[in-house]
This record gives sequence, C-alpha cells and structure tokens, in this order.
Amino acid sequence: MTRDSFASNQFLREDGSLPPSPTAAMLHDWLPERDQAINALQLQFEPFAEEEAIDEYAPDSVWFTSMRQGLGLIVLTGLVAGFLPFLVNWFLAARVGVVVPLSDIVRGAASANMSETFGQGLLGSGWLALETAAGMPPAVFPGWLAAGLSALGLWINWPLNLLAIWLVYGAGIAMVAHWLGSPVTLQRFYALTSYAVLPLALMGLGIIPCIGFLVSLFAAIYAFAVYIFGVRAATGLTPGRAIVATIAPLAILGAAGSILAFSSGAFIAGIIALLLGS
Amino acid sequence: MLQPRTYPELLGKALVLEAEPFATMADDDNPWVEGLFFVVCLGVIVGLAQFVGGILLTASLPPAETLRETAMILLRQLFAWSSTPALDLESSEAWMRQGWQWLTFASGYGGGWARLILMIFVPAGLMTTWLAYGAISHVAARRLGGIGTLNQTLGVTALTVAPQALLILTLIPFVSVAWPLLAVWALLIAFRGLEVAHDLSWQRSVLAALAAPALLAVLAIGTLMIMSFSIMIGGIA
Repeated sequence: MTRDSFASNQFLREDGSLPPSPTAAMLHDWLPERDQAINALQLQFEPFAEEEAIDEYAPDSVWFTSMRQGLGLIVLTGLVAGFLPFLVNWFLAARVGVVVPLSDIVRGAASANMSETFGQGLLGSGWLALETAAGMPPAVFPGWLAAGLSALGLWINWPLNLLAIWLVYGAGIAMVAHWLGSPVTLQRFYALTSYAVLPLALMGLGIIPCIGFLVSLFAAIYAFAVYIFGVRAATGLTPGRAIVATIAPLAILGAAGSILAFSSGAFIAGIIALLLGS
Repeated sequence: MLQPRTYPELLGKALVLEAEPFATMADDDNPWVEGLFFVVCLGVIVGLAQFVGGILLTASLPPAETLRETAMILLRQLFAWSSTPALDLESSEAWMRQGWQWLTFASGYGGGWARLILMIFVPAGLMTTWLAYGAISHVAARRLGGIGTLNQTLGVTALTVAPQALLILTLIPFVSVAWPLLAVWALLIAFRGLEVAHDLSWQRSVLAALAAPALLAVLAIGTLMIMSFSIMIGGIA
C-alpha cells in the first residue's frame, strides 16, 4: 500500500466510519458547530468553569468553541450580512457607471435636488461642481467593472468592521473584567463573545426602506443580549458586573474622545485665530 | 531555522493568540533573524498589494487631475464669496496642490510610478516599528522581572506584524482596514508573546506590551505642548 493511500480520506477509522473530508475538517477548524450557534442564539451559555470542569459540559456547549472558530464565524457572518448590499450597490453604481461612493453622491444630490435647493450661491455651485465630478466616467475601467470592484471592496469591509468591533472593544471589556476580579483568558473571552455577531447577519437587510431600520434595530438589540450573556459566561461575573464591564469601555472611550475633541478643537481654533490675526 | 512555507501557519496561530508560535520563535536558533525575514516578507507582500491596489483604484476613479481642478474651482469660488484678509488665493492654491499630492500618494490614487516607493516604504516602516517596539518592550519586560533575551523578544514581537496581513485586502479598491484593529490586535499578540518569552504574569505582560505606546503617547503630547507654547509665545511667523 502506498503512502498516499494511508493519507487518503477513504481510509476507515476504528468504528468503521470514514474520516471527514479535508473541506469538512477545515470548516470544523474555522467554524463552530450548528448546534453551538443555535445554543448561543437561544442564550444558552453554561456558567463559567475552570478548564478541567469544562469537559463535563455537553458536546454542543458553546464552551467548546475556539478563538479560531470565533474568528471564522465573524468573517462568515460579515460576508453574509454584506452580500445583499453588495448586489444592490453594484447594480445602482453600474447604472450610473461610476464607483459606489461617487454613485451615492450623484444619486443623493439628484434625489434631494441639492443644486436647486442651495440656489446660485456658493453652496449651490459647490454642489454642482461636486455632482459633475462625481458623475465623470472612470479613467480606465468600464463603468460596470469599476462599480463591481468598489462594491466588492465595500462588501469586504463588512467582516473587517465586525472584526474591529469584536477585537478592539472586546480587549477593553476583558481588561475591565480582569479588574473586576475575573480569571478569564483572552482566547476563551473572544471565543464566547464571537456568537454575538450572529444576529448582525440581518444588518444587511437595513437597505430595505422602512422595514430595514426595524430589522437592524432588532439585530443590534439581540446581538447586545447575546454579547452580555457571552461576557457573563466567559468572565464568571454577576449579571450586573457583566453589564458594567460591557458598558465601561464605551463610557471611558466617550469621555476620552470628548476631551480629545475639545482640546484638538481648541488647539486648531487657536492656530486659526493666530493666522487671521497675523 | 524555520522555513518560509511555515509562515502562514505561524501567522494564523499568532492571530488567534495561541502560545505555540511564540514558543517556536523564542526557541529558534536565531529568533531575530527569523523575525527580520518574517517582517520583510510580509512587508513586501503588503507593499505589492498596495501598489496593485493603487493602480486598480486609479483605473476605477475619474482622472485625478480632473478632480483636482474641480477642487481648485471650488477653492476659487470660496475666495470669490468671502474675502479673507489673512490668506491669499495663490498661497492657498499652493497648499492645496501640496496636500493633494500627499493625499494621492498616501491613497495610491494617481501618483504615477511614485507609488512604487510604497514597496520600499512598507517593509522599511514595518521593520523600524518592529525593532523600536521590540527594544522598548524588552527593556520594560526585563525591568518587570522577565527572563527572556533580547534575541527572543525580537523573535516573538516580530509576530506583532501579523495583523498587517489584512492590508493585503487593500488590493481591492475601497477596502479599508481600521487602524485601531491593527494596533489593538498587534498589542494583544505582543502581550501573549511577552508572556510566553519572558514567563511574565498577565499583569506584567500587559504593562510590558503597553510600554512602547505609552512612551509614544508621552512624546506626542510633549511635542504638541512645546509646539503650542512656541506658537503662543512667538506666533506663527
């Protein structure tokens, strides 16, 4: 028997079953099981336990999720959420024959009739110039291709944005949880909180007029609830402390942002005042 | 010596904060050389992706010169509308042209063959950041009771450039990777790396990982304050 036949996925295991195909094995490495996702959506997070005690949980427990699987879940959810906006963006931008951000300017200005609203003054002529520039055809590519490439880029931003929120905000919460006395590890924290992005798959429906806003609001509230349950399970904090840990980074960021914005504003205003006075 | 074909696995495991890649780097026979090669390889790939991305962006947008001229028309209209005594049109146009040049260079939009410089700037920038970050965090880790060598610290901190791999996606126009994502992910990797290489507690590892950004923040605030005082005392001129 050759070496390849031993490596083949057709080789029987001890119980007579076939081993999973390489694709299934890779999916298992990068995505949680379906039952784990359903448990998380039903807010069924088993309470915090030390590493040795986790083995006693049911096999479909969210505790058997790795950070790698959480990362995969976020990327997949982002791609699912952004698919409908991708198609709509491509279609609308291809009709104008420009990239998506320029098509948004052209359509926004046309629907609000900006040039006429602002009249012949500075704002009116400014809008007219902007509309004209935005409606110019691409330098090299045909319009549909430029529209498609830009829609693709904006689609890829969906998982990137979800990743940014999960990692950056999660780091702040993990630090606060540590200060509150939780023995949580970063990998465990990120693995359990990754399920919070699942409801955000509905965010892509936000482009539907009227209903879209309600769906997005529902998705955001649901995601927040899953996140709180995830934080509580991962950190072992009481529900109250878990909520404090989740909100604290936002409050700190808000305060720091306000101070930074105020001081930068004062600095820039001072320079402008000096420039105008000189 | 590790083989470059193991780099993707090393990178993937570092991104999910597993201890294995840090132990592999720290136990390597020459961690800093390994780190240097890893950083340069990733930098060249990212630089190449940004170069191609810049070309695709330029091909997808209207000609850069046309947009610049539109911006100039807007500026002239602004001057016609409000006559600001302290600023004259010529110097404002010069500023705007300069700003436009920087903007197009940084975004890869227009700029011609100048964007080729990115292929040198990106690896060089990553290398400088890695060396400075590695040296500062090594001093901090040792002061906090760490046992790792400088060679090992440079090896593990080389993996902090792993999140920069996301920038390969900027090959596609309009993909934007948020800088807080890159910075925080790099800090998390540094935290794990210093914890493994220096056998530090998590609290000390956090302090060692934050030492370099804290120093940078102090320097930035200090520079800003000196600039403010200079302007207040001497004026713009």
